[in-house]
Amino acid sequence: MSEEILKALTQLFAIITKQDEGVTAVERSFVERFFNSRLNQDSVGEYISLYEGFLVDKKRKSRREKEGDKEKQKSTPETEEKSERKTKLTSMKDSVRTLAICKKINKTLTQKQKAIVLVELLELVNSDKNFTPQRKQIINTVSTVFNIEKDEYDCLENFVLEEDVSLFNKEAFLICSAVPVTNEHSHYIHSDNLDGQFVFLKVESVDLYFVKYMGTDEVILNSDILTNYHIQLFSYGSTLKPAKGASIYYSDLVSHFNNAHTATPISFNCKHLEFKFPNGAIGLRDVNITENRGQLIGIMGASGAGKTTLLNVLAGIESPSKGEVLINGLNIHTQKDKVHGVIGYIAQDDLLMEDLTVFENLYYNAKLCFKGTPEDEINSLVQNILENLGLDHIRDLKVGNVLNKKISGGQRKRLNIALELIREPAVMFVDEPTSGLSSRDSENVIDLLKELSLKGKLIFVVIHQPSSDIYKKFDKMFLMDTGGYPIYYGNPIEAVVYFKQATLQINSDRGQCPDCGNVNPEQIFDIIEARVVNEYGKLTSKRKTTPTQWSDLYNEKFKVNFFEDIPEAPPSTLKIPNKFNQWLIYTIRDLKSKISNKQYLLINLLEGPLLAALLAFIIRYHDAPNGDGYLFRYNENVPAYILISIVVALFMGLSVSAEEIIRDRKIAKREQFLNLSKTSYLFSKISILFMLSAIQTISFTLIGNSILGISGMTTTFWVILFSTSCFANMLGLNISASFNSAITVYILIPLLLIPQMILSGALFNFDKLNSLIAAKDKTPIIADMMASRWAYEAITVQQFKTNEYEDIYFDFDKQISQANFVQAYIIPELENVLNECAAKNEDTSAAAKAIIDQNLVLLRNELLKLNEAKPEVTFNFKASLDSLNYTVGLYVNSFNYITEVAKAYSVDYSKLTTTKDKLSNIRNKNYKSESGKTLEDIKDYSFNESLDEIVRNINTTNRVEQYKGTLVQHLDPIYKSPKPKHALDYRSHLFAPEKHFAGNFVDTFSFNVIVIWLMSLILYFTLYFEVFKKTLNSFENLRFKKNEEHS
Amino acid sequence: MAAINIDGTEDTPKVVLDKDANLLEISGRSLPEDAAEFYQPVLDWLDEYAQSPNGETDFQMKLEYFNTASSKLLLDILTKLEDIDNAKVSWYFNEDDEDMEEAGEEFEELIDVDFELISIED
Repeated sequence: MSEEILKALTQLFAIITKQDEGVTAVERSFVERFFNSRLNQDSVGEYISLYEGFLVDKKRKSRREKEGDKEKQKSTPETEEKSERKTKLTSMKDSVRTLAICKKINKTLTQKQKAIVLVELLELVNSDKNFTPQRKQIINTVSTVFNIEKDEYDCLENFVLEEDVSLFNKEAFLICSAVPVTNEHSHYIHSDNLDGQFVFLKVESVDLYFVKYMGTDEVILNSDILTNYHIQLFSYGSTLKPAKGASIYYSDLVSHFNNAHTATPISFNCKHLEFKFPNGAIGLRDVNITENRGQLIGIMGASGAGKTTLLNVLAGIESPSKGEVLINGLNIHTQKDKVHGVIGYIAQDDLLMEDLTVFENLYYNAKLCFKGTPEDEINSLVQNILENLGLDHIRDLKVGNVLNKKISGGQRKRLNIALELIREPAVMFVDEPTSGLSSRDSENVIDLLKELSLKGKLIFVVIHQPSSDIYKKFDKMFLMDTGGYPIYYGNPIEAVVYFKQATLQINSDRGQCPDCGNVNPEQIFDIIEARVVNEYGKLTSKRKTTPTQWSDLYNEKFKVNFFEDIPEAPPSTLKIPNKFNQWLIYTIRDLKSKISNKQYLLINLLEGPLLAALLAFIIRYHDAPNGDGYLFRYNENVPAYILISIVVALFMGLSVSAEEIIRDRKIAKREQFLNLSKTSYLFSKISILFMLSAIQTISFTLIGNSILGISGMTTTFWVILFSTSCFANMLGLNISASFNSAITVYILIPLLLIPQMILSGALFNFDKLNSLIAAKDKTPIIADMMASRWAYEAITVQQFKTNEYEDIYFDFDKQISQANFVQAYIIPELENVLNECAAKNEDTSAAAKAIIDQNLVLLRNELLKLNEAKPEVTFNFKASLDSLNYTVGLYVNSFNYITEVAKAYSVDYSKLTTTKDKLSNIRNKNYKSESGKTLEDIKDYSFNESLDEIVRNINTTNRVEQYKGTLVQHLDPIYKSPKPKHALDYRSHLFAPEKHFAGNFVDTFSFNVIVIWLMSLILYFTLYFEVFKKTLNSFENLRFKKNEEHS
Repeated sequence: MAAINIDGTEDTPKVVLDKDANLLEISGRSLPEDAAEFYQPVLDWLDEYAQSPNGETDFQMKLEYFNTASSKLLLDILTKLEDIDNAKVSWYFNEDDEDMEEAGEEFEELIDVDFELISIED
C-alpha cells in the first residue's frame, strides 16, 4: 500500500470516526491496530499523529459549527429538536473531502483492494458498534464511489454488523457449523465438533472471500489466530484450523460456492501407473491419482523425476506399461475415440505461426476446433480470451519468431496457452507454463488456470520453482522424487509440514510464514534432497533420505481412495470440421501467413520472371546466315534453354517447399493430438505450393519464351515446367517431413538436383554412359526415375513435332526417314554381314564360327523386322534362317531379298519426297497470299536448327550400331517409334515421337506429363506414410544398435 | 425541452431547471431519504440538455446544507457540466458559513469547470 493511499485511508478513518460524538477509545485502538498491522513501529507513530491531526481539524470546525448554530438559533427561532439534529449533521466539507479521497483511491487501487478497504471501514465502525446513520451514510457513499454493487455492499454491511446466522440467508454466504442451519439460500458445510460457526462471504464481482468466526474456540487462519467476530480476508490457498473439527481449505470453499454452476461431473482415476522407457528404465512407479472436477493440481519434483513423463502418460500421449488412466470410467489409452476432445494438452513448445497476427493465430485455431460455430461467435470467443489474457492490445501484431521478437516472451507463452484454453477442455495438462516468464507473467498465467479450475475444469500443471503466491493457488500437489517415485499427494501447504515433520524440524507445524503468509516450496526440495555431511563438514553426494525411503513413507502415510467412476460421458469441447473445411481453413491460414511475409512473397513471385529474363537475355544469340536480325531458327542455345528451364522449375519447386513441414512440425504434432486430418493438412500445403509453382512457371515461360521468340509453345512449356515444379514440391515436402533441421534440407537440395541434371538426357548422351546402366536402344532405367528426363524429352519432342513449320511435315518426314534409313544404313550393313559370313565360311576356326553365328542371328532378326515393315516383298526362307546354319543358298536368298526391299523403299522414298515437295509449294503459295510470307519465314521463327540436330542425332558417328543381335538405329530417334517387347513395356529411346503402354501408343508429350504426375502421386503416398522418415529412423536405430554392441 | 421545477421541503432542495429561461438552480437543504432517486431526474435532464446546451450555462448552487449521500450526487451533477461548453458553476455561500465555502473549494478542485464562489450576506 502506497504512502499516498495510506494517508487517504487515515483521512477517511478520521472523517468517519469524528462523526457524531467523535472518536471512541475502541475506534481509536482499532485504528492503531490497523496501522500496527501494516507499518513498522516508527511509522505507526507518524500516522497516528496524522490521524489525530485530521480529527483536531474537525474539532475546530465542529466548535465553529456549534457557534454558527447558536447564531442561527438567534436569528431564526427553531425547535430544540431540530437544532439537536443539526449538530449531528456531517460537515459538508467532510462529505466533499470523502468524495475526493475516494476518487483518489479509485485511481490507484484495484477493485479487490477497494473491497478490502471497505471491509476495514465497516470493521472500524463495528469495533464499538457505533453504527450511526451519519457513519453509515459516509461508508455507503464510499461504496458508491468505489462502484461496488449495492447488493454486495448490503451483504458486506450485514456480514460485518450482524451476528445472527439466520440473517446471512443469501447465495453469497456459506456457513460452516456442527449444527445444520436452516437458511434457504446460503451454502452450508457440515463440520463435526466445531464450536460456533464459520461464516464465509463471497464477493462475486471481485472474487474475494471473507471469513468471520462466531464461536469461542481458538482458530488458526494461516498460522495466525483468528479473532472471533472479526472479519478476515480468506485469500488464495488459505487454511482454517479450528481447535475442534476439520480444517477448511480455500479450494474446498471455492468448490462449494461454485458447485452450483458447473456442468458435467468428471472423475479422473489413475490407478497403479507404471511407465517404462524404450530402453527399459522405469519412469513412473505405482502412481495413483484420483480427482474430480474443479481442481488445480501441481506436479513437482526434482529434475529427472519424471514430471513430464507423468503428464504425457496422464494426457494419453504415452502409454503406460502397467495400470490405467480413467476419465469417467473410460480408459484414455485404449478408448481414445470416446475421450476425444475431453483432454487438453499444453506442451512447452512454441506453436505459433510467426507470420500471423496474435488474433489470427487464435482465430484459425478456433476455426479448426469449433465446427459450425458462427463467425461472429468465434470472433468474440477469440476477443474474449485475448482480453482475459491481457493480449488485447497486441491483437494485430505479428507474432514473429523467437529470434525476431515482435511480442514478449510472456505474451508468447500466454498466447500458446490460449490456443488450448479457448477450447476449455474438461481435463487439461500443462507443462511448465511459467518457465522463462517474469514472476508477474507467471502469476497471470496461473491465475488464468486457477480461474478455469474454479469453473469446474480439472487441471494438472507441471510446475518448477513456483513462487509462494503461485504455490498456494494449487488445490493439491503431487510430488515426485528421482526415479518416478510418488512421495506426496495432498494439500500444498501441508506438504511443507509433512516434510518438516518427517525430518523432525523445528516449527514443523507451520506451513507458511506466520507474518506474511508466505510458503517456501524450495524448502520441500531442500528437505527431500538433503545430503549427508561427511566428517569434514562437506556435503557428500549421498542423500539423507533416498527416493525409496520417501516412497516407503508415502505408501505408509498416504492412501488414495478412488472416487467412484462417473457413468456419464465426459464433455467434449472439440468439434472438428470435415476434411474439406479443414483443408480450407489450413489453406487460408497458410496463405494469409505467406502473404503477410512480404519478403517471402516478393522473392517467390519475382524469382521466375527474373531468372527467365536473365537467362533468355544472355542466350539470345543470333547468327543468321543471311541477315542481321535475330532468328529463332538459328539460335543454338535453345536445347540448353529447355534444360535450364527445367532445372529452374525443379529448383524453385524444391526450395519453396523444402522448409514447409519442418517449420510446422510442432504445430502439426498438436494438430495430430486434436485428431485433425493429416490429409487436409498435406493437401493445404500442396495446393498452396502448386499454386505458387503455377504462378512461378507461367511467369517464367511467358518472359523467357517471348525474349527468345519461341512461338506457339507457351502451353507446352508451361504444362511441363509446372508439372516438374509440382514434382519438386512433392519431393521437397518429402525431405521436409523426413529431416530434423532446415539446414540439412537445404544441404540436401544439390544431392537431389544434380542427378536430375546428369540424367536429364541433355548433358550426357544416354548411349555413351557406363555400360552397367546404359542400354543402347533404350533410356537407362535410372534416368527413367528422373522427372527431368521426362520433362526435357517432352518439351523437345513437342517443340520439334508440333511447331508451325514441322507439324504438317512430321508424318512425311517420319516415313521418309524410315525409307532412307533402311536404304542407306540397314541394307548396306546387312550386305556387310552377309559378305563377312561368306568370307569366314572357309575358315574353320572357332572364332570365325562365332562371328558367323552372331551374324546369322543379326541377319535373322533384321530380316524379320524388314518383313514386318514391308510384308508385300516376298520372304520365303524363314525356315532356313531359323536353323542358323550358313549356306550359299541362304546368302543368295538374303541378298535377293534385301535388294527387293531396298527397291521397295526407294520407290516409297521418291513418292514421299515428291508429295512433300508438292505440299511445300502449296503451303508457300498459301502463306504468300495470306500474309505475304514465305515458308522459309515460317521456318525461321518456328523451327530450330539446333533442336533439329539433337532430335535427329545428325552429328553421331555411328548412325547404326550392332547391339545384342540387332541393328540399333541412332540416327533420327525422333522418327523412330519404339518397338515394345510386351504389353507393359513403356521403355523407349530418348526423343521417341510416341510411347507405348498396355498395347497403345501415346503421344510422347501426354505420356511424359502423365509419368511426371504419377511420380508426384507416388511422392504423395511416401509423404503421407512418412516412408523416408521411417527408413531414415530405421537406419539410425541400426547404427545405434551396432554402437551398443561395440561398447 | 420540458423544464423541471421541484419545490423545496425541509429535507429536499428546490430545483429549477429551465433551458428556455436559461436558469439552472438548486437551493435549500439537501438530505433526501434516497439521494440517488431524488437527483436522478436532474441527471437525466442534464444529459438531454448536454445534447443542445444554451450558449452559456450557469449552474447556480444556493444550498444551505447537503449530506454525504447528496454530495456524491452533486458531484455527479457538476461532473456532467464538464462536457458542456461555456458552463460554469456559481457556488453561493453565506459569508458566515465557512463549511459551505470550504465544501465549494473542495468541489472546485474535484471538477474541471469554471467555478465561482460567491459570498452572500444575510
